[in-house]
Amino acid sequence: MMFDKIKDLICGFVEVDPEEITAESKLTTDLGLCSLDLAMLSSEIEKEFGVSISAKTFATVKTVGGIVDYIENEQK
Amino acid sequence: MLPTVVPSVKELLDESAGRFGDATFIKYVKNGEVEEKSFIQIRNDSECVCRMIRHTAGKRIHIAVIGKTSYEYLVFCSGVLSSGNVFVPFSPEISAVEAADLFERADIEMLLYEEEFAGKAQELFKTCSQLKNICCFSQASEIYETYSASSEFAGLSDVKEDKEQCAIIIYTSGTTGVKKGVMLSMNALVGNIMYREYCTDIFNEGVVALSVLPMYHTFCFSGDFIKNLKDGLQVCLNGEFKDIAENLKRFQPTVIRIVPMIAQSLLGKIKILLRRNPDLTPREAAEEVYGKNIKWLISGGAYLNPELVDEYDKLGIFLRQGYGMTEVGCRVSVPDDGVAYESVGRIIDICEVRTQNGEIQVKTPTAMMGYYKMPEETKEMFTEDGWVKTGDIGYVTEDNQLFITGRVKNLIILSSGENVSPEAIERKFSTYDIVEEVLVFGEGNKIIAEFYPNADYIQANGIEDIETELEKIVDSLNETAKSAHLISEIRVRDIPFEKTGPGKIKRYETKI
Repeated sequence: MMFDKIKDLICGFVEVDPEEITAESKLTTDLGLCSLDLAMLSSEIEKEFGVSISAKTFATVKTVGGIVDYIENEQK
Repeated sequence: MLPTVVPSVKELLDESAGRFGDATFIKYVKNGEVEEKSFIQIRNDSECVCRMIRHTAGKRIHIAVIGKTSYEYLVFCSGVLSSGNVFVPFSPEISAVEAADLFERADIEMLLYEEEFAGKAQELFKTCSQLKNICCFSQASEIYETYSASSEFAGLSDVKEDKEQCAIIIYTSGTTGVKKGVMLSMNALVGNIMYREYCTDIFNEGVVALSVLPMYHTFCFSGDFIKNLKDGLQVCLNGEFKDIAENLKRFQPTVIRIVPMIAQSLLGKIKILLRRNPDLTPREAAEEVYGKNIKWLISGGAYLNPELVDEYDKLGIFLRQGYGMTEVGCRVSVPDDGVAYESVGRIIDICEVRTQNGEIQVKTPTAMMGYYKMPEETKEMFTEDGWVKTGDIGYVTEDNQLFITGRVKNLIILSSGENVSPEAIERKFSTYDIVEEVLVFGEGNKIIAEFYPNADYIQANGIEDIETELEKIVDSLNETAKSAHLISEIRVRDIPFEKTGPGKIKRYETKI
């Protein structure tokens, strides 16, 4: 499932309990991802799902659920 | 001391082509493949760009270069710097509106740009009346062919250089919102890397450096390009930030110039690896992330937490910082073995540093010529006897280590006349998990610390009286503080502080 995979990828950058990550978790304020973490996460997402998320997009896609929605939209 | 004769960028390119020849200078990834360019190749390609510029411009002009770090970016920058014209770098993120304003202020007549900037370049060409020529990096192959050493234009790369003239104008962000163009001569730009090295085991021929910071910043351009060109290092270009993990593995660098956020973020990855793989040693985990050869991280641009330095020492990675500003040509102090974790490095032999009312002031032959067309602002940056006012508070130790403790503009001047740096006090709270944010300021003759506590910590530890808990911390810090630095009142707030930018708390107007 895409949401679980994104959770896994996020847990490679910040020390956070995967069980605590929800669709509403905010990437920077709740999970503590910095801009470099987000850049590296975008690279992992691109490899996994073939969708590129720019720094500007991350400014609007603020949550884990937001990433899932964005990827699903781009894949349509 | 600065050598009597400082080479120009053109002379450095020639010298390095002679010394290091066909050895690889620049490595980068293009269409998934690693490409390599030698010291001779970049010299030759830069000469072609130099000839094209001189043929097109016909006189000395100001030339904007806009692009992300790439081989072509470096060739076009070196081409401008070799041509006797004035090089004006800008961020590729700049908007067309801001670029139009700065182009006018900087008297830009030619624009060299990467392909992604093409739309904005065309728009600027239409709207900026003084902009006469634009040229995309994608025309590089054509330029190399037309302006080769065997072409009719060959003689155009023989440039009589005046190294005291302005060679580069770098626009700094500035705290007032108005960007200021720092003018540096060739002597200042190159002279700043001609200092006597403290760490002789790092900048040596063939050592691999990964360049991750943007080249339009002085710290990166001066270090990753000009200094590495002189010392014969191999420079691997990271390209985009998102590719850093892959490029660390691919290029296995020994040294990287970074900002603290990069060290912090990659340390997070190392810690996670260690947690997931308890059999790994800390160094093995570090090598998984940074590659097997990693030895040095040179930090600049922002405050580096000493705890981070300590954590990296335990991984066998030497994370140290330097200090400088574009107005002095770039560096004032550089990393060295044996400096304190809190130090911003040892002062280089081409800079003299003094403190006046706590402010760090610098005298150096590599200081800027001034801000372009801003005589008033230029005057404000220098003391009457010619020292650059850094605006930073700090001190120098007997063994030439520099310490920065705060900013002059944030200084609390108590009614007793004592000067107190709020940042130095605020930093002491960084190790306490209960403190999410803190702001220290003065009122009358008192120093006040205002806290926004960490709600998760309070909940997890069942803390009921937050104020008492914070008072205990303040009391313990007051025990070891100078009498003028004692916090005499604490305040607790339930909402975060207003920020001026990423993570920067907006300071209160002084109420003294």
